[in-house]
Order: sequence, then C-alpha cells, then structure tokens
Amino acid sequence: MRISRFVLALFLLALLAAGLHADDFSLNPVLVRRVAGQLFVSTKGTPPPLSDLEDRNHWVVTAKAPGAGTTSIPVELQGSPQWSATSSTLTLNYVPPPGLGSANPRTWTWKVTYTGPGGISASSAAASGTFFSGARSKTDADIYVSGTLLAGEGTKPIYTLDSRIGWVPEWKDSGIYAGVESTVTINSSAKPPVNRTQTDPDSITADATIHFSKSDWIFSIYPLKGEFSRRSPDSNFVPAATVQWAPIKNVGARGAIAFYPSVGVEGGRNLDKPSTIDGQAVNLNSYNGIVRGVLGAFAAYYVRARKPDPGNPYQFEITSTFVDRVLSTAEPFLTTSVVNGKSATKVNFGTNPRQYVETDLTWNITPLLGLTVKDTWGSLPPLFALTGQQVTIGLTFRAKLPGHH
Amino acid sequence: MSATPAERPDLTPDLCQTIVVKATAEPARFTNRSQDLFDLGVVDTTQQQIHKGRVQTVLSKIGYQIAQSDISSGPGVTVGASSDSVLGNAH
Repeated sequence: MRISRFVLALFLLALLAAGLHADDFSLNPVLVRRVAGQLFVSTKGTPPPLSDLEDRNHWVVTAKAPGAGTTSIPVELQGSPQWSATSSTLTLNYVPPPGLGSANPRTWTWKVTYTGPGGISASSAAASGTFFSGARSKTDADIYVSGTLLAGEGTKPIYTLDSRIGWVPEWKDSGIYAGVESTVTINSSAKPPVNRTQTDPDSITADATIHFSKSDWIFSIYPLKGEFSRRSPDSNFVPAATVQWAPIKNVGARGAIAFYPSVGVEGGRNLDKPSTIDGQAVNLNSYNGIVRGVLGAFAAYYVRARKPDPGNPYQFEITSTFVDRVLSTAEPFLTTSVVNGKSATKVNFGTNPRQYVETDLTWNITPLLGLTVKDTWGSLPPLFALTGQQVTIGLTFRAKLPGHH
Repeated sequence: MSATPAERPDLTPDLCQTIVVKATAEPARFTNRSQDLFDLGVVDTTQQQIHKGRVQTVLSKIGYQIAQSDISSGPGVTVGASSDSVLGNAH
C-alpha cells in the first residue's frame, strides 16, 4: 500500500511537470515566406523533445484562400520539420495547395497546429501596423511639424513653425532612395516686441534628393535644390551634396550617445534678390554665384523607457544639430536689434561663416507626438537672418510614411 | 560578386539571425533573440539605415534580394523580429 501511494505521488508529480512543461512552450505567429514552399514558426519557452518536434505527424497545417470564407484546406507537409535551437524556430516545408498557383502565399491565411503533448496552434500574423510610424528626428521624418507660441506683455503673439515634408521611397530593392522634400521655417527670426502677428516663411527649401548608405557612411545628393524667403523675396538655386559619417554610438543599459559629423558643398546661383529688406533699400547687385562648404555635426542622447515600446523606445531624447556654412562668395546676413522699442534690421553683405545650432529636448508622449523644448541660435539661407538664443516650448509631430526606411 | 540563384544557400532561420546580428555595430553583445537591437548599437534611425543597408548588401552577395522597407530594424525591434522580417521577405 505504501509503495502504491509512493508510485501515485511520483505519477502525479510527473503529470504536473509535464503540464508545466507544456504550458511553457508556445508558438509565435506563423511566418509565411513570399516564395511558396516554406513556413516558419518561432517559439517561446522550453520546447518538447526533438523527436516530438520533428515528427511530421505532430503537425497539422491548413490554409485559406482570400475570400474563401471559413473554408480552410489541409496542406501536405514535405519531409520532417526542422528545428533550430539557435533561433528557436521550426521550418516546415509544404506542397503548395491547389489554387495557390503563383499567388503570393502571404495573401492566404495559414494555421499551424502542434498536436504533440500539450497541443497548441498558431496562425499567420495578419498585416498590422499603422499608416504612420514614429521618426527620431526632423531629418529622418517624412512629416515633421514643430510649433510654438510666444505670448507676453507688450507684444502681439509670435507663432513659430518648423516643418518638413518628404516623399523619398527606396528605388526597387537597391538601397537607393530618391524623391522630393521640402522644409519651411516660419518666424524663426521674429523677436518680441512685435506690433502685429505675422506668419513670414523666412526659410523655405525644396529639393529633389537621392541618398544611400555604404558601411558607416550616408551619402545625400540634391541635384535640384531651391532656397526661398517670403519675408523679403529672395530665391537661390543651389544643388548640394553631403556625406555623413556615423561611427560613434555608446550604448548603456538605459541610454545611448550618438555623434555623427558631416561635410558637404552647396553651389549654384541667386535667381531673385530683394531691393528692400524690412523697408530699407539694399544693393545686392553682386549677389549672383553661390559656393558654400558645409560642415555639420549631429549629437544625441537617448534615454530608454523602462518598458520600451517597439514604436516608441525612448522616454526622452536630446538631439543637437550644428551646421557651419563657409562662404566663398558674398551673401546677405541680417541682424536685428531693438531701437526705441522697435525692431530694426541691419543688412550686411559678406562672406562671414553662417552657423546654425538647434538643440531639442523631447519627451515622447506617443510614438508620433512629443513635447519639445527647442533652443536655436544662428541663421539659415537664403537671407541668413540671425536668430539670437531662443528657447521655445511646443509640440512636435514626427512621422514616417510606409515604404520609407 | 553576387551568387546566382542556383548557387545561393538556403535561407534558414539561423542564417537570417546571423546576418541580422553581424550587420549591427556591436554583434559581440548579442545574447538572445528577444534582445532589442538597441543593445547591439542600433540606437537611432541613422544606425537603422546603416543596419538595413548592411543586411541588404550581405543578402545580395549570397543571391537574395530584399527591400530595406521590408527589414524590421530600430532600437525597439528585437533580434528575433528583425530576423523574421528577413526570413519572410528575402527572395
């Protein structure tokens, strides 16, 4: 009697262990290759013995054509399933079911069932994801809008807007991206006090771009690029090319640092020059050819969320972009000062270097929307209106379109 | 020099995982499939672009093609998800 109780206890323990073992093992959604003939099922947990896993009789595969309602058809497996312990993935070779023909197997719904001990099943993952995905910076975003409002005593409100829109998809499977993009900066050089609220786009660029990466280098070519200002009508045609080197990234448990220098050239000519700027007559007759060297650097510190979301892995991001344009031909340079309570613009014409620095601290509220503290200083083409140290707080929307990176 | 379709190796889960890990900046830090690519140096979109470019180049050399937009990469993407995207989309 004592022995039989002992055997019963052992039996119950073995059943419990087997149950726990089975609970531990699960299948991820079925991965269907674009080429017919293979399915993959990656797994989690401790797998059953190899003899069970690789036994074809322990697996049932069904497939359903699009529009076939609830009718699934059995799929014949070829050979034994192959288990890879390195990637915890099972490969199932199948005979393409009747009706599949040359259609993309991914348009069908597949279901894989493990009928061994603790039987479980998994289906092919439905297409998921949103139209937009999150971007990490202005230059990386296909749609970027950052807006701020400055309101204070003795001044009308000043709105600032920094925006970018682009359509730069990959050319077939080449790794070469080509498309068009545009940036608009409104009121970047406006300073309080202002007598009336305006929306002056003081730096607009539009270009056709080609870019690609090679090892640690990212090459960007802009065969057609225009720079425009509406504040005092000015337009330039300046094809450009830049190369960015991305060697430095230091990864810690919660954060990472990145630093990428870049160098480039911008060259072209002025198309339209203003005769007056902010009411002052100006002589820009020798403002014709344009040749600039462009030195740049991007630095960032990323703070990881405690529970990173694939679409929004960072809680905070601090990014800083520095651009130094070294001019070999004279171009306008505007500085603003307050005289007797009113803004006065001074127009210089020369080859002094033109820097622009922007530092953003962003708290990511969602993958697409962040609260941004932005610090800017410097000047942007074509008029190079110098903005003194300016700190603003606003909302930033950053998104990438499908098919882009 | 790219491999011809007849010469190319079978695209197995292990091979895809190896390609994805070796294309990162810090492959020696790889420990398991559920590790985020962040830990291997894919910290932002610049590194993501470089990672995708390397994966695409290696696949091309062994006779496979893939669009970079079909490769899952980025700081919040796991090695497993990235490998699966290569496995499912390379042709």
